[in-house]
Amino acid sequence: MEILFVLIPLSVVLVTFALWSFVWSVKNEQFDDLERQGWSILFDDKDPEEAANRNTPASSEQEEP
Amino acid sequence: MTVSASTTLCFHCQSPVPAAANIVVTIDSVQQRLCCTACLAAVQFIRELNLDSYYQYRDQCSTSATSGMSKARADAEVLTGVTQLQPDGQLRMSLLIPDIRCVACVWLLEQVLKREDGVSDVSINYATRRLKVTFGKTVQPSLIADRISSLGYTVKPDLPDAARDTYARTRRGMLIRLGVAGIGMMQVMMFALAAYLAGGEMEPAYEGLMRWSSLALTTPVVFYSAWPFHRAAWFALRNRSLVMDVPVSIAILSAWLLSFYNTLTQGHEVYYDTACMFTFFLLIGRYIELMSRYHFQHSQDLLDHLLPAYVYRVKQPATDAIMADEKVALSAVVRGDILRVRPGETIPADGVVEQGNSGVSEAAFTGEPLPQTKQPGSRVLAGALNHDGELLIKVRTSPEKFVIRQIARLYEQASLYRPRWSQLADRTASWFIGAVLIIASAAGLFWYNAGSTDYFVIALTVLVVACPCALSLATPVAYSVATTTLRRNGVVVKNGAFLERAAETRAVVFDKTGTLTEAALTVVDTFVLDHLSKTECLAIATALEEGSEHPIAIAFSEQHQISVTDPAIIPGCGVQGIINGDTWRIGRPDFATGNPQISHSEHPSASVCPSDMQGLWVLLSCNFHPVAWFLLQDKPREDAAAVITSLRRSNILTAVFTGDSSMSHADIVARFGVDHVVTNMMPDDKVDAVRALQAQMPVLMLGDGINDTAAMAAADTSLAVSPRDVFVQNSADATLLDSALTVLPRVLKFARKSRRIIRQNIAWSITYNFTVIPFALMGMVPPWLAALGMSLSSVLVVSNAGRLHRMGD
Repeated sequence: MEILFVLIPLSVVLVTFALWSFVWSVKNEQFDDLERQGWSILFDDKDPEEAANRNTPASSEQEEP
Repeated sequence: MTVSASTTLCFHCQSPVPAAANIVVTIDSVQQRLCCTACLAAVQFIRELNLDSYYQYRDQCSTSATSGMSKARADAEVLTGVTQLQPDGQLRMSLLIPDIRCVACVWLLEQVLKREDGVSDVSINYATRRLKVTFGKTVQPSLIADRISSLGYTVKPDLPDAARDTYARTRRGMLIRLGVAGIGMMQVMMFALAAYLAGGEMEPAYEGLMRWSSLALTTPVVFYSAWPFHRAAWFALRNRSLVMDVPVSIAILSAWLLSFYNTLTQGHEVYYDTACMFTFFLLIGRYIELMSRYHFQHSQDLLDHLLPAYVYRVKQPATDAIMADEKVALSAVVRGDILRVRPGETIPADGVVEQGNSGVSEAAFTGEPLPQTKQPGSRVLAGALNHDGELLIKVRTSPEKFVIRQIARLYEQASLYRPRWSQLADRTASWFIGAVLIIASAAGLFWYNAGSTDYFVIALTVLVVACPCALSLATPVAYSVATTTLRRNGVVVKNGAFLERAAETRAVVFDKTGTLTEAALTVVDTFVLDHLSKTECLAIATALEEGSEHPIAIAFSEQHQISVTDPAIIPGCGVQGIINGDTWRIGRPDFATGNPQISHSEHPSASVCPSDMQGLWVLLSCNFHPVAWFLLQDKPREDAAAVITSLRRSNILTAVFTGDSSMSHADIVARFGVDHVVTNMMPDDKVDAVRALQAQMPVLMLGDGINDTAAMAAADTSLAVSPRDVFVQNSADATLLDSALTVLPRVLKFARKSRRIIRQNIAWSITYNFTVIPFALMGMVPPWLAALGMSLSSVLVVSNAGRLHRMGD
């Protein structure tokens, strides 16, 4: 069971790391708007370049009645 | 191909399409109607970028509140003020887009801006409607602003706002405290579980390891996360008062101290997990409370952004020959400054018109969307929109005293209001907390003498269980949510008692003019002086007035095929135009006839009109020769009768107390269906009548004019309907900003709902506290359950109040 003398301090170090990353993300305003990200999966996020390259203004789904 | 004729809403901006506009766009083989060319341009722009899925996404969000198109653009100088150089050499611009309506708007803006060359990052906060865009130095800030406004959004600079920044900082700080407590708690519980499973048979070396590790993790929780409790408790004690934070702080600190002592001395028991849990669960309650306040602050903030950031000040001393402007920040404006306001701009300050004539729309204050004529000497309010003419205004008050700011403050006061029972709760709270401290120590002593090893835990549990946290949240949270909801629905509450009293209302008294009638003009009669027919006169008048947005112009809506050349709007007088070579004029009699000495009653041609008809007389003339008189009158609100029926259905007595006698008693009863009518009343009569009614039941008074204010003050509570004067607004408990009267039955229902929810909250929190204390005293409540139960009870109270986010129907 001597391994606990390594594992428990290690867990404390890991928790410290988790805390640090949490504080970092809060300070970078990642928690400021929680509503929008939930919606984002509903939008097909086309790659901007890909969309720009497709020069025909009417894409296939627009031609459907 | 189908034209969606049934809907008259613009496909792009969803505002009503004017009958005359005939702009269509074909999307997915369906023709959609648009309201203006600006919307057409926006749709074409969106389609060019292949982003028309915006319109589908938009349907997924429930967007009911949509504003019209933006024609206003932010200018380059203002944009430079909100653009900052980043350490990596990029520029970052902060903008406020007040008309972001749903998440689809966010998506559209992001897609469009990301495709701009040189733009490296776009981030939009949906909750605060703020946009941050990062771009290289080669990109012009105004180009980005133009892109956004070509989509139809209003672009405003996101100017630094101390109050909002403080809120954002507090919220972030609170979130970090909460996170530290949560993560710390999880790990400390893990260690506690190991010790619990070992059942006291753990080797001292391992036990010491666990304890020291727990200590390392608990210390930041106790001294960083729980700091707000300690701080508040300390301030309260120093002021010799007891607040809720005192027992909380004592519980957390003593749990930590005793555990620390036992860790050093290898004593019997540690309570690190208890300390962490108390902190974490209590912080959840605090965080939710803060969030509801933050939400409120945000709606405030949008109100203030109605005003422009920069104004054009006429350099003093201004001679009549040279009127040079200088551009200054609004905050730098002082009393006595002369400001230039161009057509289409927002009036930046409260003041008096020095020079110029123009129609000014004061929808923000009066709910009256039609522009009012302003001439030298007229008063204008900051936040109103200047329509057709250029005005020079003299500032009468310093910016912090503007009516618009006063409205904001009134609103703030009302939402901080606490009803009588809540004030009583606050006063008794310190006695209650004192009692809690004594009971907890007594319980600890008792169990210590009884030989229990749990005496300390029991004392701690009693401390936590007895905390009236939920009780203290019960009313203020419900009030702030309710006033915010009302504000969103166009009702600004000034006096917090409004909700309480509106819930009790059994009788509603209406004023007639402006309250039950629209205070919008319609043509009720035409008197022809010439050989033309009535219809022809109306058609000519409509053709002449076409280009004007004045209330009088809007009253004319006859079908016609007349083309007018050289139309000219003469602010404050009328309209002039040339039809088939003749000069036609419509407007004030002196203007129409070109004779400055003439008014309606004096005009020789007035004899054809019955003298007993009251209203606004407008004269149509051809080459300065009178052709026809039009009589314009106020028309009843369409919704008035429906509102009264709906009130009567919910057993509320309705009455009309009116000062004028233009409509007879029987007319009013027939038209609106009210129970009780008195006409021709003086303001004093109204007060007496309201008092008489009050003797039988609680009365709500609705009015719009200064003549109603006394009666409004006498009634139990009052609601101002699109008031034309700030004084009226100040004397009413609440103000209806939209002129839609239909909201009234809903407001009364909502008030009853708020009262019910507040009562539920109070009943729940009192029941909870008094039920659990005896069990805690008997040592039957484990500390984790105490902390959890108490937080859940706070969360329950707050989420119950959250039901007031919706107004209902």
